[in-house]
Amino acid sequence: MQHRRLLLLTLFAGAVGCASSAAVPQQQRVDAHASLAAVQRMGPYLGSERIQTHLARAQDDLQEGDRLIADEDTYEVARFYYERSAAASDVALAWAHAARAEQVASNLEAQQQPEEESHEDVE
Amino acid sequence: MKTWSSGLSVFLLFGAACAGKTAEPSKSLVRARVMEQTVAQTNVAELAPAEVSKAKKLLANAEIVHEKKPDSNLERHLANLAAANFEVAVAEAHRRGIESRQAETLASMSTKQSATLEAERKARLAAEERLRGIATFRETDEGTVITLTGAVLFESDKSDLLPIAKDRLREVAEALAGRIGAVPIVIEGHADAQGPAEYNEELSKQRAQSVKDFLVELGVAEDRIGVEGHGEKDPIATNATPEGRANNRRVEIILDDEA
Repeated sequence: MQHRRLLLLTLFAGAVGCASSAAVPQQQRVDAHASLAAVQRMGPYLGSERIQTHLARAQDDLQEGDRLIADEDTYEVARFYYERSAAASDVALAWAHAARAEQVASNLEAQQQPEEESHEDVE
Repeated sequence: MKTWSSGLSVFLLFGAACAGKTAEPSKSLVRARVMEQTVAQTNVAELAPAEVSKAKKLLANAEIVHEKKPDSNLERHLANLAAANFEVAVAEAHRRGIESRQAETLASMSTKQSATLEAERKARLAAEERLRGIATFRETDEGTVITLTGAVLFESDKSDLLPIAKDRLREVAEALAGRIGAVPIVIEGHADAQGPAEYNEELSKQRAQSVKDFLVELGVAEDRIGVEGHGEKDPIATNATPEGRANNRRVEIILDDEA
């Protein structure tokens, strides 16, 4: 009886495993789209060539993922394009955040400089 | 991704143990390894530990796949993800470094600002001390109000400054050097209650104008000074005694520090 229960459990686990490996990569699709949308919200800080390269790669892979997921013969492969797209978006986003930090620091420096000059004038 | 990668690791470890052979790594894997070494030689792991840890896990998975299926698509894929995550770590570390330096700058600016405010406060106290007995100071919502009181400013029914009034105003201007002229000033003239109210209002305005003219003579920019005549409306003493009336014939200089 116990053997039978174990066998059923194993079969069930196997079935779940097969089903999950063949699942449509919806989560990866959502992640990739969300990651790209997050980058695009950083509009003013996306100017550098490095960011544009990663952004272009993210867009290309996302398009390819969307194309592959629509076909029942290729939808499983879409996962890799989505994952690569999300990774490229993450890189672009990280550099965009760095660019924004640079801009803020530069503004702060510019703001500080006249103050220092005016103090020198007083002295 | 974690679910399949952990299952995959177990499977491939088994496969690698059986195969036991080495092969050339893909370009992607080489790139990811180089990035790992580059990151290890800097303080990136210190500034972005979570990002580096994620990248290292992906690279470890890529290495496992490489052992089992060299130069496979999966190896390249995992290596690419690892390389991307190492770059995220580098960018994050760069940003955190900037923000850390910025926080130091802001802290130093705040210290400087505090020092400036303290210096201004001391200068104000020194000016008040110097002018004690000549004028009174009040901090109000309108700004700093300096009141020059007494009959020494103007004779009754006159708007010309007495010689001693000029000395006082000169002392006020010297004591407040840096503030008078730097901020907008309003000079309010006040009169005692002798005579008609309209006449007193005009007289008080002429008195304020006399003070303005003298300050302009001392070099204060004319367009920084406004003039108002309040007549007998705001007495500060009784109009029933000569001494009270003398104090009501006063001028108030208001420095708008907030402007």
